[in-house]
Amino acid sequence: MITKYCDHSDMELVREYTSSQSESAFAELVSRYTNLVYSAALRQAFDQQLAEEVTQVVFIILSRKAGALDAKTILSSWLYRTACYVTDNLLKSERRRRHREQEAYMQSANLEIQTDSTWKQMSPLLDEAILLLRQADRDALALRFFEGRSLNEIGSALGTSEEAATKRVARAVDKLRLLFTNRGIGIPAAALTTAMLENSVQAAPTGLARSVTIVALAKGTAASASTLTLVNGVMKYMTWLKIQTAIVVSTIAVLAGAGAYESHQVSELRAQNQSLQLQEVSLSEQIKRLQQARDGVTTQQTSFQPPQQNDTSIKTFEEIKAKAEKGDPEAQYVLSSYYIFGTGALHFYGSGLDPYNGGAGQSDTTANNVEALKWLRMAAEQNYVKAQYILGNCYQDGWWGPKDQAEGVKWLRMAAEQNLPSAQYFLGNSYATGTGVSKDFSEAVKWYLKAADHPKPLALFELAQCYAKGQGGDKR
Amino acid sequence: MPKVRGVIKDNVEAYKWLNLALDQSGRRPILEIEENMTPAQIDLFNKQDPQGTTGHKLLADLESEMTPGQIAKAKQLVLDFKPVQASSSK
Repeated sequence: MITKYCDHSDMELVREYTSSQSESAFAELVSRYTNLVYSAALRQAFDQQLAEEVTQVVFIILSRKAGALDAKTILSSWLYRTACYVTDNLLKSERRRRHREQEAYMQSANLEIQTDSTWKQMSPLLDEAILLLRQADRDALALRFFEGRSLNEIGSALGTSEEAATKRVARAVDKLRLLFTNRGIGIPAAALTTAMLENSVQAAPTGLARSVTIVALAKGTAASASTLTLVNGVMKYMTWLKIQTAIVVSTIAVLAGAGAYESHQVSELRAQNQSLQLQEVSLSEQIKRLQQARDGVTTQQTSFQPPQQNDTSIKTFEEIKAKAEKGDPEAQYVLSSYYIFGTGALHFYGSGLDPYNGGAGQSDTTANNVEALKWLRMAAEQNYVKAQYILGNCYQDGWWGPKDQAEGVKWLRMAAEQNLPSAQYFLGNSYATGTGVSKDFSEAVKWYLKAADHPKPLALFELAQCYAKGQGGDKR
Repeated sequence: MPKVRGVIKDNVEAYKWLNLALDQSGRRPILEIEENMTPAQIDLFNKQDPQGTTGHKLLADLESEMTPGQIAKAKQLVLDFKPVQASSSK
């Protein structure tokens, strides 16, 4: 039954599952990657039961997010990263205990994992180190060591040549080795490669794949309340990881009152002092709520405490909404984040739609996303630069709604033309990668240069990379 | 397929921007900073790579390809660099 999918690629199976709800396609995916997910969880959790729970949660998340995965996704890498997030969130509150157990684990004579001296040294740090690598490096490592693919196959999967894939893997291994070295573990590259090839994936308990498939195909409705809470929390956390730089960094810039763009706007902001004060309060709360959302995952809250009637966040939300409805672009911008993060959205509390109380997954948060995008777009259309920047990222990455990379570029460009360095940097990236626009390194450099004028370190580095490689141009 | 417009390889420019990038970020190895890294991960990486080894390794690679004259020129460009926004905001 399952074997008919043997020749299908991972993403073909994902498409099959999302387009026709094919249970056998999903079962094939679970069959392929149960061992990988379980092994990654076990390495970090040191607990078979926890590793099994993590495996369950990861595949429930896959069943829910499958439709949003990009066609170029390296599924093994995505599952691995998700497994790490889930495990980390499960264990975060017990980190101290974990380290103690880690030492005990290292000394254990009853390890089920095959251990040679190299693997013994690197295993506890492996996942932490891999997560520090760039996405492209993680993809290469996942294909090589978790899936055991040949370099030729890796080249095909990454859309590059075998030679480029070889270099990518070697570079990723080298970076891993560097990380280990800096932690006092000297491992030759060859030994590291061998150890990873031999030990990265071990067999999960018999029957786990089957039980995981059944629960995941029901989108987790058959799972326990705590598992569902974890699923919802981690899904939110994954979104949060993607947008935190965009939103929090810009928030910090506003709060600090620093930065070139803000100084350029200072006279206008002074004139709107009252509005700014409101934004400061709400944005401070936004950060607090973001942190709360992240921390909430780790503590596996099974019940959300709705705010009291005299809660200041409700007042703030009401004030912001009133201002937004009157057409204030700053308030519209802030309001959009309230809908996404479920903060202050009074009418959602107790309705099962709150994103953090475990009910969100069942009722979905589409309504919040639609509201968020609506308000964000209203602010952007009023030429509110930060809203344009966030909206551009939303469309480029499919946050909260459909992915439309060309539309994303349109909004990024509007923000970039208003001299927002982050937007200039991301617009440069769009040209450098051909995302939503024809690949054009000259244009990429033009926008990096504008961002460099602020100066934005990432843009400086991209410029160095472009010139060092002679991207798309002739070699001198 | 339309030809991709590009930039010409220029080690002097690359050296200049890399130097500025490393200076701007202090000891942070910005090569590794991605949107999907948490602040805690970045902190951890910085602790593990206190000298910004990755960035400096690239710098060393560039230097190995450059003549002393090119390096001197690049260093002068670094000294001459004045961010428009930084200078205009003062």
